[in-house]
Amino acid sequence: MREKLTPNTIRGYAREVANVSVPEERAAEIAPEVEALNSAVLDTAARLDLNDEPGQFPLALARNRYLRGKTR
Amino acid sequence: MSSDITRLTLTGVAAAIRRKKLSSVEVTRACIAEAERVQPRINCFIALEADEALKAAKRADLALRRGAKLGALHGVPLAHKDMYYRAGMISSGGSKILRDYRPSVTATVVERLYGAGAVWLGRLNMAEFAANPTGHNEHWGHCRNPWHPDHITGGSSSGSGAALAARTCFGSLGSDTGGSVRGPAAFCGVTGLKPTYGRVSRFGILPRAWSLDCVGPLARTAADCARLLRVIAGEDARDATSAAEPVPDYERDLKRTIKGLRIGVPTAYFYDGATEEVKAAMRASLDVFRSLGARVIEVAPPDVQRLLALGTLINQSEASAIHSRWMQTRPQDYSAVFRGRIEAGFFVPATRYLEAVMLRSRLLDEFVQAVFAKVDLLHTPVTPAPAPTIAATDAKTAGDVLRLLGAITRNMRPLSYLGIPAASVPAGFSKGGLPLSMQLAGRPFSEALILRAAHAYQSVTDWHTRVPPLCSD
Repeated sequence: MREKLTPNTIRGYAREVANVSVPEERAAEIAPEVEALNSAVLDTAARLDLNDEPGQFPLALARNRYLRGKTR
Repeated sequence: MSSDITRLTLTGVAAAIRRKKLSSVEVTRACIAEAERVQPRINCFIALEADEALKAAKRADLALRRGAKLGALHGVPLAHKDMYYRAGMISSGGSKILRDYRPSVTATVVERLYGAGAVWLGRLNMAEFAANPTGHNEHWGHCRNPWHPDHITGGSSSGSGAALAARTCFGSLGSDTGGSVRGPAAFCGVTGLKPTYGRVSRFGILPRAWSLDCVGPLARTAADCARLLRVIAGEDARDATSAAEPVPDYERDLKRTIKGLRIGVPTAYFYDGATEEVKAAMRASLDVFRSLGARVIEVAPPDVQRLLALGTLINQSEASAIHSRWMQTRPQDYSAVFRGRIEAGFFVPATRYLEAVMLRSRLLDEFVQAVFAKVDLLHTPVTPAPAPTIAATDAKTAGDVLRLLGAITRNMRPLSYLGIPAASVPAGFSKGGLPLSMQLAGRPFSEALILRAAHAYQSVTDWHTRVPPLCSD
């Protein structure tokens, strides 16, 4: 079970990793936002395959142009 | 009268110049006069470059007299969002940080437009670093809607929408990462197209989020957008993500019928929160398409809310990387609104970001199968309501920013994540006299079909020809 992302975690990460300044009240706004974004990915990522890779997207655009072998 | 000239379309004025009915100097002077007249009220220009524009217009007229080979935009004044680089010339990105920035390269799209004979009229207002959907800008002043200057233009291509609606130029480049072409086009009552990701080179433009950024034209008609897109589209060796797909003759395709075209109406998501006025305008536009022989069919797009979240995650992650250095060293030089748009990106793990990028291919496949296996185009409102007031959307906190974003761009950003093309087309007015617009989206690289449908619609409607009261004062 995922634990809730807290403002303290955001502030700690901001200081220790990201090297940006985030006031306490802003951290309280960022925490649920980041949690929602990460959750959206986590809930979908199970669909990924071992051989998926980021650079495939242009190929996906190209193949979806020719749906059912024809264009109007 | 100069207003007679500035009310022509881009293709109309290009033809008039080519046939020597009008000179480029006459046309450019008319645009400058309109721009100077409306600028104090709508603040659409960051810099009107009148002297240089007139010099370019004189060169265009001289070339015409000499019988030179003419490009598709010969002598036509254009103005662009202030993020298209010209080597050695200021490109501010609507920001304080880049107020005096002079890039060392010229954007490929700028080379293509001006290689086709266009006249550079000036640099247009925009949201700071292309990151606000309203048109507010605390560094350069808010851009105001020509239909009602107390209302927002939409953003981030705020100046593009306003300058076109106010008849100060004939076409404009915007950029669309999550709706920045379509939103201002919709709120200002002009036509705008976000092309397929990779259709138009991004070389030499200010980055917002590399994986989502699309250069797109705004103009007053679909035919004008077709002319602009034909000039700027195509592979570019200087942009690794530009597509090698051949560029069709978009204007020639406009002449084809839309009889039998299947237009999809979404059964979920895109009408959430839409006002009755917007719903009525959408129904009326669908009736027009039916009268033109199109079939209207309901479709169920898969989990659009998820697409919205994944696109937002990519957008924020990439923007935070782009601005990381200045966010550490010059945070005070950004507006609070801008910081609110990107800060969450610092806290997204690289793993989640890469998964969101990898998922794009699968989710595009799913969306195309669910929607475009059944219909040729998807029809939605661009925004759920007409342009709100500047006062009501003056975000003071990051939380305000998120709420505004959600309301204004929710119908556009999911399509940006998918990389598919989508146009904003004027489709009516609110009781308060503000434009209402429809969004037409299609499969990847279906810009010709989108423009054809928009052109067919504009051939039997007049929403796109209406002129803001500001232009008649």
